[in-house]
Amino acid sequence: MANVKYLWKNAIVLAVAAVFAIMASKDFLAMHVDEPIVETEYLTEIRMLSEYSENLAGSALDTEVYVFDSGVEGGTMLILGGTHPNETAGLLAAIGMIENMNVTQGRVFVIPWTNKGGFTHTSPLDGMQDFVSLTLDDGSVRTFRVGNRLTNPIYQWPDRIYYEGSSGRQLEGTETPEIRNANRMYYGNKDGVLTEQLCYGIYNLINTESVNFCMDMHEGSPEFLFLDCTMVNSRVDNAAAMSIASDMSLSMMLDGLDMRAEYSGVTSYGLSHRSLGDNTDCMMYLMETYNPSMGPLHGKMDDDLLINGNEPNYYQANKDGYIYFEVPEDGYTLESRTMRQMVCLKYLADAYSGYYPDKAVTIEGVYDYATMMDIGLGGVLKPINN
Amino acid sequence: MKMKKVMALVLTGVMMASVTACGGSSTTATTAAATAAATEATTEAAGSEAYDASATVDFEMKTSESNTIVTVGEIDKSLYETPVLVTSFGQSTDAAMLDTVMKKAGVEYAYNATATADDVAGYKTVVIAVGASSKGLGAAGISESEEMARAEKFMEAVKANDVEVVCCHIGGSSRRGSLSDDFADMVMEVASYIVLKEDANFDYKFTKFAESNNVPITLIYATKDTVSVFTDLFAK
Repeated sequence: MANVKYLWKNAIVLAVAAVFAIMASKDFLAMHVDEPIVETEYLTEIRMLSEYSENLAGSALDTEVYVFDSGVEGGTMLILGGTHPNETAGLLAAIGMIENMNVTQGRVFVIPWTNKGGFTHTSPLDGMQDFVSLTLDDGSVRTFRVGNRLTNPIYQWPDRIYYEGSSGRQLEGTETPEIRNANRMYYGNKDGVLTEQLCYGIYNLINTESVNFCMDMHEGSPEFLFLDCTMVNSRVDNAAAMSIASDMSLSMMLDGLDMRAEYSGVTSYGLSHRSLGDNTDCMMYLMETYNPSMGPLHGKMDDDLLINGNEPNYYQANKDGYIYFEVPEDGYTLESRTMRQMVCLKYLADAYSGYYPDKAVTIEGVYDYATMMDIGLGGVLKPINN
Repeated sequence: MKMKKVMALVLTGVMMASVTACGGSSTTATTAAATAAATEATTEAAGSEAYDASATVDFEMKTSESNTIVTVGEIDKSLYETPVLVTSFGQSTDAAMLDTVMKKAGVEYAYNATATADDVAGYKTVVIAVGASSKGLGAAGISESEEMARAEKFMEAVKANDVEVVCCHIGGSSRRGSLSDDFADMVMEVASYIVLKEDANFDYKFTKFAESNNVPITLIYATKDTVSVFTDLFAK
């Protein structure tokens, strides 16, 4: 009789634990569902990256490649969003391009979830929200994941204590988790760890499709030195890349935006702009916007921080001279960062087309910064089911 | 015994709630990722020029957001004829920006960041972007000494061909440093006009030189203002 009594008590404990486990599971599993993207009449087709890296097929890192082919001879552009999923403006800008862009010359490939394996978890001990929800002009709401810059370890584990990537980057000590960072593992390896297979897919896509130029869209913590900046791979035989980036930067400046171009770090092995630029014929660019939720001084992870970009600690840190980046007092909104990235993509295509008219890529449906801000995120993001 | 069970139940609940909140992965990953990002930033910043921020304490800008272009001295625009050669001393990104500026300004020009003395003949004006970048030199496959030697020979050819020189320093305060200043000094000595993004003048180096040598200098507030300066300079 006493055993039955204890059995019931144990069962109750287990049942309570199960309730919490189910709640937690729902939370975890929700992160594995891709946010819907509205397909427009201008979209030609959707491929999977595994077409370019066959070992990715069936894995959690296989990802959609949205293809816009004008049918008019020209160049080919590749847009990478979501390389680091927690850099939300990069995801939204890629989705914004897919839902608004009409390519009238050349081709544009867009990968919105470049590291899909990073969207399924968040940064531990950061108290990070799993999602951000945005209200559209018609009153409907769209929700997007706030992921992690690294591939989820449930897909790639354990982190090696030493690893040398295809670029020659040596991961050891505190850098070993970077073996799950897509932007450290270029130019990839089709038989390497899963994140390298992903990187190889992008490398092979660039070669197979003869991509002329590529922008990898990122955000950085306020302490980072290269915010509102585009990194440019400029090889001796590829010097026009910097002039094109300068053209794009100047166009953004004339829109009232800060933007500068910098050469890739000589030792930035494994990063897209360095290793894809060094090992392909593609002009590689990587741009960064400010994201206050990524720095250690951020306060509570809430919509005010993630959507309004409002972090008084960083405003004060800049005023006190501790960080270079001029933090706006009223925040640096997700909307303005997303529009900045979309405008940057448009102006990069314009600049490239100006230098190489025979390989032009013409994008319509994306405008200057003031117009894009008038449209706003509520207009750029389209309602689902319409 | 009963209390132990209650405590176990509460602790189980707390444990499950905490797991729900943190969403996976490991503490090590966060710390290491942050460290790696910081390391990357430091590594990539190593090539850029630094300056002493304390030197700007008493610096007063003549330009502002509402008054973006200020010229000190008289510019004789008739001196500056096309075709124009744009080049770089120091291989910073500023020369590529000037390439774009000239295009937007509608100037007849050629751009060659590594132009040599042999390239000078045939041009009536050269615009030189002064500013050193270790990354830019690396990208061009040039050492500092090779760049200095090229610059010295180029300036000799400029003097021999009687070409007008515009010294252009548009990289701002971050483009100050000993090598950048050496290039600026070399060009200013021969230049008949200086264009400067004013925050680089924090020690009044450029305006002092312009004043004492009677060389007109245009101060700009932001890089984009360069377009107006050159549009105006070459408008006939």
